[in-house]
Amino acid sequence: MLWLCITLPQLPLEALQCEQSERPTVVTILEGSVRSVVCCNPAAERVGLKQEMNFTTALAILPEVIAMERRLSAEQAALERLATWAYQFSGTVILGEVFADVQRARTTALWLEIGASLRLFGGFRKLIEQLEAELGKLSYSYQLGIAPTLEGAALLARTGVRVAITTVAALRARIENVSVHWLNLDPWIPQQLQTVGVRTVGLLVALPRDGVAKRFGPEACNYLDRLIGAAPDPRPTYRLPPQYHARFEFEAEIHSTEALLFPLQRMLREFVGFLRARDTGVQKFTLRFIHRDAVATVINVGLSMPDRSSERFLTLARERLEHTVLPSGSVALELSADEFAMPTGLNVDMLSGATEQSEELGYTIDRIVARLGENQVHGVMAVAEHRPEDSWATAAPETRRQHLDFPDRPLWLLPEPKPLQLSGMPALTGAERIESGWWDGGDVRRDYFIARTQQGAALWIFKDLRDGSWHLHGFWS
Amino acid sequence: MSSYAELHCVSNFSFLRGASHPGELVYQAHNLGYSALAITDECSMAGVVRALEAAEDCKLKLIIGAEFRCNNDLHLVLLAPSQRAYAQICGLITKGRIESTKGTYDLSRSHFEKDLSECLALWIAPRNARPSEARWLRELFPGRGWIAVEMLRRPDDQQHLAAMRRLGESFGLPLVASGDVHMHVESRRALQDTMTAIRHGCTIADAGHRLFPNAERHLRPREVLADLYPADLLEETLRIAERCEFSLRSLQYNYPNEIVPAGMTATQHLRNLTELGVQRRWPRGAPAAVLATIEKELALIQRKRYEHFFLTVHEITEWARSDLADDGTQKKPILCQGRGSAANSIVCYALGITEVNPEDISVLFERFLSDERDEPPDIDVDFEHERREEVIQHVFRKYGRTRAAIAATVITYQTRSAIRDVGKALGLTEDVVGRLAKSHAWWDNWERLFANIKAMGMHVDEIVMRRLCILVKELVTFPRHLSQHVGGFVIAEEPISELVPIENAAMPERTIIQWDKNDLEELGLLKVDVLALGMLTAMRKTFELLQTAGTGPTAMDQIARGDEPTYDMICRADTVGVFQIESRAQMSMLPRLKPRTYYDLVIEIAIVRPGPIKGGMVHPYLQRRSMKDEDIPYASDDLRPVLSKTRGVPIFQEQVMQIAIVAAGFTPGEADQLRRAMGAWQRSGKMSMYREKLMNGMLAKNYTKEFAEQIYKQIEGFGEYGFPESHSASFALLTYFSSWLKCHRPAAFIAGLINSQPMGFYQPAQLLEQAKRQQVKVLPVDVTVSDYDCTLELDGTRILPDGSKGPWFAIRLGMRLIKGLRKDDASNVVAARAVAPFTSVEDAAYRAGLKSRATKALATSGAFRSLSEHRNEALWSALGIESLPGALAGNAAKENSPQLPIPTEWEEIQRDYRQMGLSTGRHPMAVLRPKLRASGIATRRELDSMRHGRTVRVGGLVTHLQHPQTANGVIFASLEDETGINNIIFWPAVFELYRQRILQSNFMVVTGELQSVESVVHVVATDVEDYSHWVRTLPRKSRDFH
Repeated sequence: MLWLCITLPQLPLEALQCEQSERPTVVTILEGSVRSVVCCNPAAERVGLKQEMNFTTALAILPEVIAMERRLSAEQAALERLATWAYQFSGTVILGEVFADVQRARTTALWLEIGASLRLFGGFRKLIEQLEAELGKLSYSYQLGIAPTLEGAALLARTGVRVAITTVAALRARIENVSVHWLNLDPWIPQQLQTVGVRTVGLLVALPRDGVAKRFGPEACNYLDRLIGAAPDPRPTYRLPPQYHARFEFEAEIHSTEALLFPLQRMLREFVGFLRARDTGVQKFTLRFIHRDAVATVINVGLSMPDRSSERFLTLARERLEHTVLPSGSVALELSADEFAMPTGLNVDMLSGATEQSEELGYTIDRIVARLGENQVHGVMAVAEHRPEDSWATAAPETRRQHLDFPDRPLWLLPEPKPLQLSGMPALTGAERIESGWWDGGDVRRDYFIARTQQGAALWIFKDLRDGSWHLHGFWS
Repeated sequence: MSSYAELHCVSNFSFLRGASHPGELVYQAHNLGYSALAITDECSMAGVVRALEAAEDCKLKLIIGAEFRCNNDLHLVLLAPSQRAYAQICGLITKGRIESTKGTYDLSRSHFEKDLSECLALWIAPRNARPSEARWLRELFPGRGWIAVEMLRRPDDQQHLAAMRRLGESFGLPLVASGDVHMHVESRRALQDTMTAIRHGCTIADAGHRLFPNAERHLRPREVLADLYPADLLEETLRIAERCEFSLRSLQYNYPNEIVPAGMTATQHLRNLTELGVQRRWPRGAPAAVLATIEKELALIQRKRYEHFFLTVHEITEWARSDLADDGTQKKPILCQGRGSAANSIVCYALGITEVNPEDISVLFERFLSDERDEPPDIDVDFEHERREEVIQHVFRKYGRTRAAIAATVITYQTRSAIRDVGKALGLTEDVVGRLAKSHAWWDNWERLFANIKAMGMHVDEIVMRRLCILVKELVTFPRHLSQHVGGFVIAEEPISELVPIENAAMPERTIIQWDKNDLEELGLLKVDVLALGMLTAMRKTFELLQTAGTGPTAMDQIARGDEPTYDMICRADTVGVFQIESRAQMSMLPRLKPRTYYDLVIEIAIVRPGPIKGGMVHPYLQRRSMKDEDIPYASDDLRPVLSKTRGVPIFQEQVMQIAIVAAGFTPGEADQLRRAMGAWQRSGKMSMYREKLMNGMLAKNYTKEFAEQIYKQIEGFGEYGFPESHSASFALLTYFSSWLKCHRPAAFIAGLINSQPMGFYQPAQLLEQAKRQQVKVLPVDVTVSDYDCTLELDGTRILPDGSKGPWFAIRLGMRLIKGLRKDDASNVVAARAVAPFTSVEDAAYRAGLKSRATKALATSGAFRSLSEHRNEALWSALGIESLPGALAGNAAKENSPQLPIPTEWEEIQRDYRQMGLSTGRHPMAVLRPKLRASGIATRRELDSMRHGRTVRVGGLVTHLQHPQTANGVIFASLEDETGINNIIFWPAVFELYRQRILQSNFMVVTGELQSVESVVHVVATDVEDYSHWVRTLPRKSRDFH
C-alpha cells in the first residue's frame, strides 16, 4: 500500500469562502468564553494575525478584521465533496477526522491509495501532476505527502516534505528529527513531551513503549506504531453515494450572480470528479439556491446528451442563472443529480401512494396552491406588535393561530392608511393612543378612534400626532 | 387648572423599568406645577434619598412609598404618611427581599395582612378586577385604601373607569387618579422600550406586547390630565398627599447601647478610655496643650452626641488587636489602622485607633467636626486584607444581623456595559456588540466610536448605530443593581429594617441596606468603614518572619522614626513594593520631591493624584520647595495660614475647602456641601452652581481670575479622586514603616509581600528581582525544604544599612508560587516531610497524597531538584505515577528511567517562568546579553551613566503597559532587564505606528531618546522592535492597562 495524503490546512476558511479576499479575514471559534482564531487568510497573516491567537488580541491588532464563525458541518461537507472528487484517482479513499479543537483544526486530511493507480496514470510524476492540476482548480490550499503508512503520509504532508517515501525504513529515517508538535496526538501530549525534553519523533520512538503507554495512554503508543508501520491501520474507506448531492453554505449572503459563480465553479468541478470516479455522466442536474426569507430557487440544467465537462456545465448553468431573477441573496447552494447517463434502475417513489388520505382542508389548500401558484396563497397570523399594520403577518397556509391579547381591532385593515379630509368632527369613541416602532424606522404616534358615518358604518381612523393629519385605517364589520 | 399630586411613579431604581433618574422626575414634577410627587419604586427605597435632595432643592413635596406586585396579580402602591408607616413599608420590603434571591422579591397576600396599620394603599385595579379584592382592600386598609385609576389612553379606559366607579361605590372605596409614571418626559420612550427588552433578555423587535403601547407613562401636564380624568379623582390625589406628612429628615436612630458598661454614661466611658490611653501614650504625662485639646474634643463629641460612634470604632479595633476570638479561643491579632478627619484627633490617638501622633501633624479635628455643620465624623479603619472578613463577622455576631448591615454601592451602567445591553436589544449580534464594547475600551473617546465602527468594516446600519449612540448616552449612569460597599457598616440600637430596607448581597450570609454611602451621609447616618489593606497583611507577615528568625522588629512601634538610610532609599526612588509610593508616577516624583521627613511623605502621597495633577499643582510645588520661606508668594495674606505648610500650593482636599471659606466667602457649612458635591458631582450635577459662587466670591475678594480658575480645576479633579490630608497622614505612616522594612530587612519584607499576594502593583517576579538587587539571595523552591509560604534562611552576617553587624537572610521560595498547586497539597508535602525525609519523587507523591496535576506542577517548577538528576527526569517520573488501589498503593512496579536529555539553562528558566512566573536562575536577559550587546542594546544600569538627550537602544521583558487618563494618550511601558526596569514613553503617534508590536511583544527593543533629569530616567521611543521570537517560550507576563 502506498498512501497519498492531502492535508487541507486552510479548510476552516476555504469551506466558507472560495475566492481569495484581499481584506484580512479570520475564522474564529468560541471555546468556553474564549474566542480564538482558527485560521487566517494571507491578508490577515501579513498584518501579524495567527491561528490560536486570542480574538481579542487580534482585534487589538486590527480592529477592522473580518471574522467568520467556524462551521464544522461546512468543513465535513467540503471534505466529502473532495472525497467524491478524489475517486477519479483511486478506488480507495479515506476521510480524516474534522477536529473541533483549535490546535488540530488545520490538520484535516484525506488519503488516496495510489499504489494501485500508479500504473494506470503512468507513474508518480504523472499521477501527481494530474492530481495537482485538478486539485488546483478547486481553490483549496493543500499539502501532499506520500508514505507507506497513513499517519506517515499525513505527517509528511503536514511538515511539507514533498518527497515520495515508499518504504517504512525510509519513513523512519525521514521523520527522525521532526518535532513532536507535528504528530497527530491529543495536543497535550506533544506539549507534555516537550517539557520532559522529548522534542523529536526520533527521541519519542526510542522511548520504551510501556513507559509511553503508562504516561500518555495506549492510544498514543498505537498511533506511534501505526505511524512507523509497526501496527496495522485499518480504516473504513469512503463509499461513493448512489446519488450525488452536495451543499455549500456561504458565510455571508451572496447577492451578485457574479459572486455565485465562484462556489458554483468549485462545486461543478468536484461534481465532475465524482462523475469521473463513477465513470459516468449526466444529462440533467439540479441547482438549488437557498435564500433566507424566500423559497429556494431551483434551476434544472439539462443537456442534450450525457456529459461530464465542468466547463460546459458551467456555461449552461451560467446562462440559466443569468435569465433567472433570484428573489434575494443566497445563503447556500446545492447541487444534485440522481440520474446518470447509464441506466440506474427506475426512480419510483414507493411511498407516493400513501398520501391520498390527507386531510380534506389540506388537500383543498394544496389544490388552490397548485392552481394559483405557491406565491399567491398564504395564511394569516397575529403578531405581538402594537402597530396595527404590523400586528399580523402572512404565514404558511396551515399555521396555527397564536393567542394574543389585543384590544378590539377591526377585521378589515387597509393596506396603507388613507389620508382623510374631515369636514366637521364625527362622533368619536374608543380613543387609543399608539406610539411605537422607533427601532425599525417605522415609528408611529397616533390617536385612534372609532368614527360612525351617517350610513352607520364604523370606521377606524387616526390622527397622526406628529402633523395632526387624519387617516382612515380600517373598517369595523 | 386643577392641582395634582402624582402618587404612582417609579424611577430608574426600579431597575430596567423606570427610565428617569429620581432627580429628573422631581424637577419635572416641579416644573409642571404638581403639588407633590411620590417616588414608589418597586419594592425599593434605593432612590428616595436622591429624590429628597432634588425635592428640597426645588421645594417640591416628596412622598415616600413603594410599589409591589404580589404573585397572584395583586398590584399595590403603599405610601407613608408617618414614620411608623415608613418603618412598616421598609419592613415589608425587607421581608420580601431577604427571603428571596438577590435582586428579586417575593411577597404573598398574607404578607400584606399584618403590620401595615399606618400605611395608605392604592390598589392598581386590573381590567377584570374582582369584587373580592376590593373587599380585601377595604378590610385591610380601613379609611386608608383607594382604587387607583390610571387613564393611559387605552380604548377601554372609559369602560374601566365606569366599572371602577361601580366597584368603589359598592365597597365604599374612594377612587383616585394616578399615572403609573415610568419616565419624566415622553421622549424617554425609546429608552424605556430598550430597558424593557433588556429586562426580558430579548431584542426590542421581539419584545412585542411586553413593550408599552404608548408613551403615556410620563409626567403629563396638568391640563392633559384634566382632559383625561374626572375632577374628583384628581382632587383625591391632593387629599392623600396632604395626609403624607412624613419626611426622611425626621428619621431618628440610635447607636447601639451595649457598647457602654451598665451604670455609666457614654460620655463617662469615652472619657475613661481616653484617659487610660493618654497614660499609655504619654507615660511621663501628656503636655498641657494635648490635654487641653482633648478636653475640647471631648466637649465637642458630647455636644454632637457622637460618643457611641467613637466607642464602636474603638471596640472593633480593640477586638481586632486582641488575641481572643469571639468564642473565647485564641486568635492572631489583626493589624489595623484608622484614618480620616476624626481619626486624626488626639482622642483617636489615645484610643489607639490611629498611630498618627497629632503632635506631628496639625490636622485640626475641629475643622471637620464642628458645631456649625451636621455632618458625621469620618473614620475609616483599614485591616489586613486577608483577615477583614473576620472583623466583618465579628460585627455581625456582636450586633446581630438585624442591627448591623453593610451599605450598598449602586452599580451603574458604564459605557461598555451600556453598549452591550443596548446593542443586544437592538438586535446586533454578540460578536458585533463585543467588538463595539471592546473597541471603546481603552482610550478611544466617545466621538471616535462612530468612526471606529466604520473602520472595523462592520455591516451595521448607520441608523442603527445612531440609535445605539443615543440610547447608550442616555443609559450610562443609570443604576443597574445594588452591590455591597467595600466595608461601610451601619449599626443601630433598633432593627435597621425600620430605617431602611435590607436585602441580600451576592455573597451568601451577607445583607446590605438599600442606601449607598452618599445617601447615608445626606441623612446624617453614621457608618463605620471596615476596609481591607494588603500592606497591613504584608507587614504582619514580615513581622512574623522576623520573629521566627529570632530578630526584629516585630511590631510597628518598634520601628525608629526619622531613619536616614530609609529616606535616602526613598529619595533614590528605590521603592518597589513600598506602600503608596511604588507606582511609576510616584517613583518619578520622588527624586524631585526628595522627601526627608514624615510630613514630606504625607505630601508626596497626596500630590501624585489626578486632583493636584489636573489642577496643575505639581510643578509650582516643586519650584517652591527650593525657595526660601520668605520668597514664597501667596495669593493673599489670608491664605498664608491655610497654605503655608504646602508652600503656598493647595494639595489637600481640606485646603481647597479652607480656600473656599477664606477666599470665596463660603460659610463652613457651604464648604462642606462643596466637599460633598465634589465627591458626588456626577450624581447631582450641582458643581456648576458652586463654580459660579466660587468664582464670584474670589473675584469679589480681589483674587485673579487665573487663580480662581485654578482652584476650580482642582476641585474638579478632586471630584474624581479627592485626597484629604487626614487620610494621607495615616497612609504616610505605613509608607514609612514599609520603606524602613524594605531598607533594613529586605528579605523578610519581600517574602512578606509575596506571601500576601495578590496585592499591589508588582508581581512576585519583580519583587524578587528587587530582592536580588538588594543582595538578597533567592533560593529555589524545593520539596525537601520549602513551605507553602516563602521563608527566611540564614545567609551569614553582614554590615546592615544602619552600620551594625547583624544576621543576613536569604529567601527560600514557597510552594505558593507554583501555579496549579493547591495550598492543601503544599501542606501535605510539609507534613509528610516531617514524618520522614523523602527518598524519591514517587515516595514524595505517594506519601503526600498528591494528584498527578500537583506532582506535575512540582516537577515542572523544579521542586524535586533534591530527589532527581534533573527536571526532565523528575517530570518523567511525575508523569508515570500511578494511583493504584488499596494494598497496591505505593508499590507500583519499578521502571528504569530512560535516557532523557538534560535541560539547558534556557529551558530551566523557561519552565520556571511558565510554572511560577519567575526564576531563581539568571534573568533571561542576562542569558541573552552577549547577543544583545552585539546588537548594541544597553542595560538599564548603563543608562545611568549616559548623557541626557542621546539616542539609546534598550530592551527587556514587558512587565507593564499603562495608559493613565491624565497623560493625554501617552502610553508607558516597563521593560525589565537583568539590571532594572527601563521606563519607556510612547507618544500617541508612535504608539499608533507600532500598535501591534507594542501590544503583543513579550520582549521589546526600543530605540529612542534618553531623558535623564534629576535621576529620573526615561526613554522616549522613536522605534520599536519585537524580539519576542528570542524568548518565544516565555509567557507574556505584562499587566496591561490597569
